[in-house]
Amino acid sequence: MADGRDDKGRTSTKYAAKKAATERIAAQRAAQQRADRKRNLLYAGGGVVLVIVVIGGIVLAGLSSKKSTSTVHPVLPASSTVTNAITAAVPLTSTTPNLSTVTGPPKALTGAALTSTSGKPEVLYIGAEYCPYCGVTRWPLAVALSRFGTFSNLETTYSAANDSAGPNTPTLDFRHANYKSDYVDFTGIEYEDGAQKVIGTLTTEQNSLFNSVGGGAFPFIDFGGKWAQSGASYATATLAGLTPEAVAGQLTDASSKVGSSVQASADVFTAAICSMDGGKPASVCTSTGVVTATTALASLATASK
Amino acid sequence: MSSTRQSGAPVWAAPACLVLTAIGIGIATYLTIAHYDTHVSLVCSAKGAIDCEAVTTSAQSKVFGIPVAVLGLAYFVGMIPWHLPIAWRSADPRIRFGRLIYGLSGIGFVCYLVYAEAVIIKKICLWCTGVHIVTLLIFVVTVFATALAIPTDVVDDDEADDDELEEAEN
Repeated sequence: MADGRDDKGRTSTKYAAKKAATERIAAQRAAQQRADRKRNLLYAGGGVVLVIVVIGGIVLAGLSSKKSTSTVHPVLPASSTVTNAITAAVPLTSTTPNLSTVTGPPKALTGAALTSTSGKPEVLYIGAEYCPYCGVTRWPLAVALSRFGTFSNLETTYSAANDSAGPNTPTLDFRHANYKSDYVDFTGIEYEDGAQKVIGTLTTEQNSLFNSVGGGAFPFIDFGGKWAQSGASYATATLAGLTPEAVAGQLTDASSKVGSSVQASADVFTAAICSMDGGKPASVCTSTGVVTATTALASLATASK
Repeated sequence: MSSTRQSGAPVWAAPACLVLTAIGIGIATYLTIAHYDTHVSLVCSAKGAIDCEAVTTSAQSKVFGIPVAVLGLAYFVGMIPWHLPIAWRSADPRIRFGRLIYGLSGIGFVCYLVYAEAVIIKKICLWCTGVHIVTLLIFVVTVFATALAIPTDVVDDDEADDDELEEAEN
């Protein structure tokens, strides 16, 4: 009996000592893990903060350098060289356009027709003077619209010098332009000037179309609610290094890169306008170049369905 | 005695990183399609400093002749194995540190691209910024999850008790 009690007592004491040792070891391990985690989290936090500081520093460097390079070109009345060249480019619809140069291109719309207060179908252009994409797109738009009516008070300028997408792109300007046509009306809005200062106003409807259809991107052209062009209609590099007069000098030369690019875009825009005014005048809308562009637009519309 | 070594990584690490990787793949795929298909234009503002087209058609949109959009897509696809649950459970230091280095390489590339946008092109592409943010978030999650993961040996309970008790006796 006595030996049995001793055995039980020893076993009990031994077990308690083992249990205490186990708990002590577990506690030491847990404490060590907590210390390791705390140290690791400090390193991790420091590393993440360092990365964010580096990225923030790069962004700040970009913002500070941007302010010092702003250049605004003057907007001047278009010379007779420019206006005569546009007039001369208007009848050039008898050749097949090289549509490979056309970017964008216009997308078919299914919403309500866009009409002006006079009841005629309306072409709505919203752009900005600093914008190089607008710079290249105004040329074919002016040529296309001149096939349906007459511009007056056209001006010329350049896109912003510090816009890397196409610095100093020579262009027309619609800020003070007037347009008369028996078939369509044209509303040309230059929303911002060369320094990105807001100079234009948009109606609620125009603003809604600009954002919902055009994605808020310059330039935006709505062809009577039938077609919409968002962005450049050909590469900005096409006009790099030229003056408005130099562009004008190549407008009627279909063998030049400038002439073929402007004419192809002009034919596409003309086809879009023909689709909104019932194909009038027939002399324009049934011409070879416009028919080719109309077929291309139709295939685009089919592809997007 | 038998034991297995576990990473101790938090359970949220794998799903969080995989969800972010899926978002990154989605945006990078969209940018890649827009790069190759001229009929697909990015839904993006082109007002002021925001201009996706200026960025995605710039000289900096390619590295060694490879479109950055394609590199981004490849980066996110390559990220999947590093963030599978089995990889996060592994205590293998090659996986643990390899995942960190992979994430850090992405951050390095993001720094270059942010520099290209902010300093060289002076335009911001919102979709690209989305990719940058996703890359940064994946890196942050990876760093903190790795910091919280303390590899431990998990020993069979009974055997562990016996070993510890034996040690206590001595």
